[in-house]
Parts: sequence; structure tokens; C-alpha cells
Amino acid sequence: MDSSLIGIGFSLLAALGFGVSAVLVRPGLAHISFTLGTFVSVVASMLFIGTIAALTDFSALFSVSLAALAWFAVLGLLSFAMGRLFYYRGIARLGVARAAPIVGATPLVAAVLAILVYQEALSYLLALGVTTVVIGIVIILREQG
Amino acid sequence: MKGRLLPGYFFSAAAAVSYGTSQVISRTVVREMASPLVTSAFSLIFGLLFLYLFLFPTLNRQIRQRNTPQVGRGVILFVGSGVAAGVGVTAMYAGLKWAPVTVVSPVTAINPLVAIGLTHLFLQHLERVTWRILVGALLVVGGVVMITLSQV
Repeated sequence: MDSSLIGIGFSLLAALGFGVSAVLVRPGLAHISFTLGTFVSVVASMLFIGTIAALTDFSALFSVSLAALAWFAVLGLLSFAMGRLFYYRGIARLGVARAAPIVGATPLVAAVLAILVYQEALSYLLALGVTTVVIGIVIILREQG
Repeated sequence: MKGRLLPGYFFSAAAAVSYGTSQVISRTVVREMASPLVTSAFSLIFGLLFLYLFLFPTLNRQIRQRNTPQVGRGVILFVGSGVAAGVGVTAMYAGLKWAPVTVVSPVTAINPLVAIGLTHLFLQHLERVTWRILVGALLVVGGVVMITLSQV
């Protein structure tokens, strides 16, 4: 089989995983708060990814530098303590259908930061992408239903 | 825009800013310091520690006070959410071993459409997916694909 097809298969599985993850939050919020829910979901993600990392690259887990640990702490704070907590709070307030596309616009933030921090060039395709994302978000914001 | 929805838009945008900032930082970390899975595993451990520190009083009270079957159902759904997110991260990195980022990132970026499709199928009793939301989501995903392709 073509290796690209396997890559596409894994990418579709990734999209399905992220999609299912968001959809399970909504009914879960009927039973527990978003704070406890976020904590439980991060524990589950940690056990899952920790196990996969241990099975595939066990020695690497014990060879990280102190500088790397400091960056991991920053990433943990941004991605899981803040990002996931805010996302679940957004789902609690808006529902999945509105919150998921707004959070899905993450690459827009990353692109803007990359331009500001790394002085990356602003190409026509990037400008068109940014404009399209902004129009999409405005349409969602204007939805009254 | 209805005022009651404003906090929800604020928190969703705050999540996008948090995730976006971490994406920019993780590019350097993954390139120079550790593999993506090791980075994710350690980041999750630190994220859990921060969450516990932030939410310590609230979490302890909730765990003590609400020990009912309803809570158990909620915990199961959030465990499912966490595992599904873990599958997403692992599958994305596996995809990158088999195909270039120009293929993997755009395909992975369709996840909001997957979420909207599943919401329409399974959560109709909780929320309604309108045509305007679907069109907005399609434009966001299309724009994200363009942004991703412009950076590789």
C-alpha cells in the first residue's frame, strides 16, 4: 500500500479522535462540572499517551534535559491547564458545534505569532487563509439560533 | 450576538490562543529537545499538576460531595474524551511518519467538521446544528488548510 494512504488513514483517525473528544464533553457536562471533567480527561490522556510513549520510546523518557523539562512545564500550562480547561468551558457555554470551529482556528493564532515572533513572511496564501478563517468565525458569531 | 453566549466565545477564543501559543513553542521543543510523544507525555504531567494546583479546593469538594452514579457516568464520558484526544495526538504523529505534513495537517484540520457531524447525529437533543454554523465551520477549516499549506 502507498505510504501516503497509510498517512491519510492515520490523519483521518486523528481528526476522528479530536472530534469524538469534543462531542463526549457535552453529555458529560450534564453530570459533572467542567473543572472536574477537564481534570479527569487530562488524567486519561496522560495515561494513554504516557503508555504509548513508554512502549515506543522508553529510554527517551529518562533522558530529557532540565531545559526541556522547563519547556514541558510551559507547554503543559498552555495546552492542558489553560487550553483544555477553556475549551471545555467554551463547550459548556456554546455547545460543540460553535466552540469546535473557533478552537479549530488555532493555526490562525500560531500563524500570527510566528509572523510576530519569528518574523515569518506573510504570503498571499497565508493572507487568504487568515481572511477565510475570520469570515467563517464572524458567520458563526452572528448565528442567533 | 446574544449576550449569554459572549463568555462562551471568550473562553473558546482563549483556548485557541493557548493552543496556538503552545504550538509555536512546541515547534522548537520537538525539533531540538525531545520527540513529539515524549513532549506530549511530560506536558500532560505538568498540565495535570497545574490543574490540580489551580482547582485544588474545587476538585476536592466535588469529589467528596458528589459520589453518585450520575458522577460515575460523567467521569466515564470525560475519560472517553481524554482517551479520544490521546488517540488523536498519537494518530497524528503516526501519520507524520507515513506522509508529509502537507497531507497530514490539512486532513487532521477537518476535526471541527467531524465534531459538528457527530453532534448532528448524536446530540440533537442537546444542541442544533444550523446551516450558518456549518458554512462558518467549512470556511474556518478551509482557511486553516490554506494557512497550514502556506507554512510548509
